[in-house]
Amino acid sequence: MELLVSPFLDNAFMLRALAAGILVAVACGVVGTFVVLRGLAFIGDALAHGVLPGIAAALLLGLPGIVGAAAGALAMIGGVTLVTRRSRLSTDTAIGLLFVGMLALGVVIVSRSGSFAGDLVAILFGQVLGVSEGSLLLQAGATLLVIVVAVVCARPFLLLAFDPDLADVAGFPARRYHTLMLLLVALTVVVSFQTVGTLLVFGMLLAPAGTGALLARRVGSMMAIAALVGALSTWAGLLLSWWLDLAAGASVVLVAVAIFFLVLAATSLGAARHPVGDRAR
Amino acid sequence: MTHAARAGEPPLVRFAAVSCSYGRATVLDSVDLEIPRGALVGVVGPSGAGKTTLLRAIVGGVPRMRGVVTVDGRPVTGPRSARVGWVPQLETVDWDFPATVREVVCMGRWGRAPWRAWMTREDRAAADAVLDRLGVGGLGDRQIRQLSGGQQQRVFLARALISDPVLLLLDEPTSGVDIRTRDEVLHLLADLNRTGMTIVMTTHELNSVAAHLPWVVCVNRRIVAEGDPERIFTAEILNATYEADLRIVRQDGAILVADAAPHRLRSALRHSHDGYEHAHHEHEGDPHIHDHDHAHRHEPVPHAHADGSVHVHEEPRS
Repeated sequence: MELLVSPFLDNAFMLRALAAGILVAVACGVVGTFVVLRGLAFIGDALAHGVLPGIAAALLLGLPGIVGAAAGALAMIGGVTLVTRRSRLSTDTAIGLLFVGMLALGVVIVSRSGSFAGDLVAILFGQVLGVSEGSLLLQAGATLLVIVVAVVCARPFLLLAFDPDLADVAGFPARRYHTLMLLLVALTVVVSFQTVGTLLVFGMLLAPAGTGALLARRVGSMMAIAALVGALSTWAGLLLSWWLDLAAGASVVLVAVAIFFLVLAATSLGAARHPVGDRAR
Repeated sequence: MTHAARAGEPPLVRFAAVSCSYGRATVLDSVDLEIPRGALVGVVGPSGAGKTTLLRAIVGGVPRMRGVVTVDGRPVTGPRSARVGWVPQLETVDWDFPATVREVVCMGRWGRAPWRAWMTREDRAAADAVLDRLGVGGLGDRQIRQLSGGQQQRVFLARALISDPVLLLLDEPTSGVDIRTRDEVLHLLADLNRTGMTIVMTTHELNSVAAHLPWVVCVNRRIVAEGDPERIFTAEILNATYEADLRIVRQDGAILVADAAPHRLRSALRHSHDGYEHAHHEHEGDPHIHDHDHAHRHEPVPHAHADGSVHVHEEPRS
């Protein structure tokens, strides 16, 4: 028991890391549920990487990284919308193009700075162990905002994911809510990158929500399971990192992905044991 | 004629020079169409002819649209006025979506309380009542993936009916369901229509569905023809609609539309599959499942629909 809690009680930076990680987990659980249900994984990935040149440019100019990240995310959303509306290309082609373009641009900008490798690793994998109280507050605000928007827009978001035609029937402007959903993903990515990094925020967006999809019978419980799995992964990942001296952010996401596959194995085993299944047709 | 029954009133739905496109492909091209109140209309046409787009245009769901669609006199691009029920094609539904039957049925009321995230007691009662009415009461707590084909269709009908719609739109309501469910759905629609509900449905089934409806619209990017199928199911009109070679057989007051047997296909297949034919001959006298299949596919009048659905033919007209 001592092994499981003492690192957090004895070290303020570990406690801040845990708090920040749990806030990220809750935001990612809520937003990740929409991402999984609406099939936005690829654009989530693109957003997570599309912010890189923004962050790099901001650091080069001496601005806060989060400002650059926000600019990068907006550029990404605008670019994807523009390319899909102006050309006959499918959305995934547009996303893929912007994704590699922005990633390359980010690396080029980072390579101009002196400490190339160090900056890049910090951006990609975050500095969960170096979270300040200020960014903890920011993270808390963002998580609260995500929850409020998700509750208020739950119905249009769910219709968009389940039956876009009914969204039209109900009078929800589909494009507007699609953009709003992307902005919510962007907000989560932009705020969370300082904690788990741009690469790993994507893992936190998908793995816990994916686990929720395997287990949940309702959207609400899917979000709750996702948030819980994310929080659990943060705690376990930080402990692993503490005792085994591993990279913290990567350990957190690794635990989250491992939980997904364990649950997948368990549910497939359960399904195999009851071959008739519960599908009536 | 049913369609002219309320000729004095303005139409419920009106298309005025409506064109719709996805990318560069024009799906509907300057369509003018009026759907009177109380009508029961089938929309037929080949795949990709714009049947579903026509339905979507009625709910303002086509992003690139020129012209004006009005429901109850108001453009569909503005705020909603008339209550509309929507039944999607079952094949397009994500059955693994984490939702129970009751939650799905309640979606039909979401337009009334768009910002509420939870179900009220009133919502639950309304959902259970409409499920009861459709003979699937007691399924409310079930996960949607645990439904049979007939139950799936009823649940989505319940979702459309919970808002007490004046206009019911259905996309291929008889596709993907068995014959019994198909007949039950058609009878239910006839009953709803008798209560005054205006119904528009797309269908690809000419004989078993469209031929029994009081009014049919033939679509192929444009409105090719509309009217009572007795009148408009002619070789000329249907061939123009489907760009194919169809034969129309009229017998005992029933209409049968047969696609001309693909006779050249048979010889083409025999030439290219000599070995296959040979193998078949070895099994002669031994009724083989392939033989059965084979004979069936080359019936001169495929799916002649002597399926006893003639009663459906009469009822919606009364």
